[in-house]
Amino acid sequence: MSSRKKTILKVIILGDSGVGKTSLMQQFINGKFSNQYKATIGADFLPKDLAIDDKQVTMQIWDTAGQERFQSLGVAFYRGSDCCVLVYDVTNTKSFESISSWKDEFLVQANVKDPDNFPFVVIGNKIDVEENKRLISGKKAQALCAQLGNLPYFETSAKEAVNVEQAFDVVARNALQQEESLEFADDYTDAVNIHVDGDNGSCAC
Amino acid sequence: MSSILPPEWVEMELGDMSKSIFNELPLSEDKADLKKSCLETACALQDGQLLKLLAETRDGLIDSKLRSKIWPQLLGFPIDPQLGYDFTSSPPHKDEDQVSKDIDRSFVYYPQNEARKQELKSRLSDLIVGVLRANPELHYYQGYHDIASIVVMVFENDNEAFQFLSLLTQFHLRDHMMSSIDSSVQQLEIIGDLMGCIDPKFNRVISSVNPIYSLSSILSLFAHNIQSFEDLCLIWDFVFAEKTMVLPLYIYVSVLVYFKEEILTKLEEESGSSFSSEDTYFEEDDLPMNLENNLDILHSILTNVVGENLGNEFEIFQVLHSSVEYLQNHPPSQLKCFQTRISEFSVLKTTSKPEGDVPVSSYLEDDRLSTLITKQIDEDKAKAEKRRLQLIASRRPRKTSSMDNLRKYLYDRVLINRNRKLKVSMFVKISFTIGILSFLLHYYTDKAQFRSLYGAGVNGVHNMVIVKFASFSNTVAGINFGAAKESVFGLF
Ligand SMILES: Nc1nc2c(ncn2[C@@H]2O[C@H](COP(=O)(O)OP(=O)(O)OP(=O)(O)O)[C@@H](O)[C@H]2O)c(=O)[nH]1
Ligand SMILES: [Mg+2]
Repeated sequence: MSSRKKTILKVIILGDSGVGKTSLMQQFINGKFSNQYKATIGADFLPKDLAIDDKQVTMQIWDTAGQERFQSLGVAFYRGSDCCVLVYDVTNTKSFESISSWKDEFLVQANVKDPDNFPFVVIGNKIDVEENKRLISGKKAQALCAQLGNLPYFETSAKEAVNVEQAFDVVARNALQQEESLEFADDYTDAVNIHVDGDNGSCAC
Repeated sequence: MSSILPPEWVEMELGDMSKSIFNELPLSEDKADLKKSCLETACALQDGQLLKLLAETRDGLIDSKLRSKIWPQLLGFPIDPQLGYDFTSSPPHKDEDQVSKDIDRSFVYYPQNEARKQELKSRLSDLIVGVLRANPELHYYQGYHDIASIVVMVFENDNEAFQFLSLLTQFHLRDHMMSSIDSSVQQLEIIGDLMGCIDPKFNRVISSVNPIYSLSSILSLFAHNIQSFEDLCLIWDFVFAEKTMVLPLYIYVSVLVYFKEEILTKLEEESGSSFSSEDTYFEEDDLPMNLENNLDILHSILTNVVGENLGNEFEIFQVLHSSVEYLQNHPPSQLKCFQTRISEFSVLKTTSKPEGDVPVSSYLEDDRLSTLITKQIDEDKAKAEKRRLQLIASRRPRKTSSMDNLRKYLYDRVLINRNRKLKVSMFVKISFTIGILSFLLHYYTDKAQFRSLYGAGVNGVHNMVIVKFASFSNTVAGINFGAAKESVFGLF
């Protein structure tokens, strides 16, 4: 009989170099900040077990390289993701302007079946900086998110652990929803498999 | 240098003893001293052969002072400590923003001393910016800063650091500094080809993922991944002694082979499937059972193997030695991807090729090197343009009928099921059943339709629905069968 596999939620974090993707992931997973994280080259993930309501899941959080020259490598990693987090740095205008191209690039490289309904979450990071260093207002960001398809938006500080939990909670919920909607399609084949498991001893052919 | 030894003495000593003396672990203090004086002698005599031999024995080139003299010698770089450089008058390089972000995140593992770290960061910035401004046609990449960090630590003299890194960049690293990352990625394909020669069975496992798991190690010559400065220098001793940037790729293979058991065990633990027993992954042509569901995990294991497993000096030494052996037994010229995928202007086929026959000095004469670099950049630009056009073409939305989508969807599902042969066979049987059922249904509905011509309206609608369903299930059955038969026909 097929044992129900543990639910894995694959989440990809994208955004320009230096916006704080690695710091956000570390803050969420290990609950700490260090200004000694290396720049990210290529991509790798860290797992985190958590419960969404009563359901146990493992979130597989992929931290990727932000430098533009690494962008084309996404094809190798994005496939099968359940949610994509788009991060910009509130003190960096260019990183904000890149959000929508990161989104498009993701959709193409991940080969998403239903692009209009794929869950994204936008994060404006580094809100701990002094007010005068901040270049992108919350309002402006909200407007962009509305335009990109009413994407959920959070303002965070990976440094001071502001709003990171909350943002990833929504990421996890949306990812779970996405995963379950995909499972629906799988169930057809599973049902077939379950039915036939019993009698395949005789048809070793 | 008071301890220069007569050449005969050195050669005799080394011929007879180098292997035995310098390969013991660890090098005792007096042996280290003996080795140092050998190195100084060989350096003064400019005996490349001897330096190479010594570089590839225990403790390598021993310390930074020796390395700053011997690395340039091994690579044939003319270095003039008096020759200064000034970058302040040159226009900024387009990637300087990125450089400063990376310098903020440099010297993560060493040195411990905060003041020294700050001093190094400031020198690092000048060094990278200096080299980039002197080579405006090259693109900076993340990972280059890791290499430059080692260079500033080893070369206390800024002029020497600048000249060394400039030449290293032009002769050995420029493939990674084209406009796109493709020429780096092409280099990585060597890993799979080489593994195919050394351990074809294991290669079937590792080749199921894209070799970019090795990207950070290769781009940074391991500086991004190895956490000990001494260990890293030992690796560089070997790489520079072999004078080729193909060695890092061979080292990666050597690491994978060395830690094969660990890799497979970890893969089993983390995926809950079995890969290591002979028959699970050796018998069939397909991917090992369940591996396809665990490619992400495999990528992660393979990308972390250098940082997490390559811990002690003994292992590093073993790994380095076998990589040099692989290079002798399976030179890149024998590998398919090397012939077909690597550009003729690549460092691996020109200035950084194994047993390069053209000396550095001749490249530096008559603009030979700059002509080569220009050609490579032109080729890269042409390829990038071609790729851009292809991309545009491929992303133009194509009209697909819903039937196409259904077909594709079902076909994908069948492909995913490829290894679950028995289950797939059941899938086919069920398809047959549906097919037969729908045929019968068809038969029935034909009659029904005939009747409905006379029958009541409600009945008619009902029957039409049945007709639709029947032809739909016929199609489904047809597609199922068509897609499945290729992979499982033999089972019937
Ligand atoms: N003030 C402040 N600084 C932050 C915050 N998050 C990250 N940083 C700093 O921003 C810099 C970049 O952070 P990373 O997390 O390495 O950025 P990244 O997005 O992973 O960058 P790449 O790996 O190059 O793509 C580091 O110096 C961090 O210390 C934050 O919330 N507040
Ligand atoms: Mg990062």
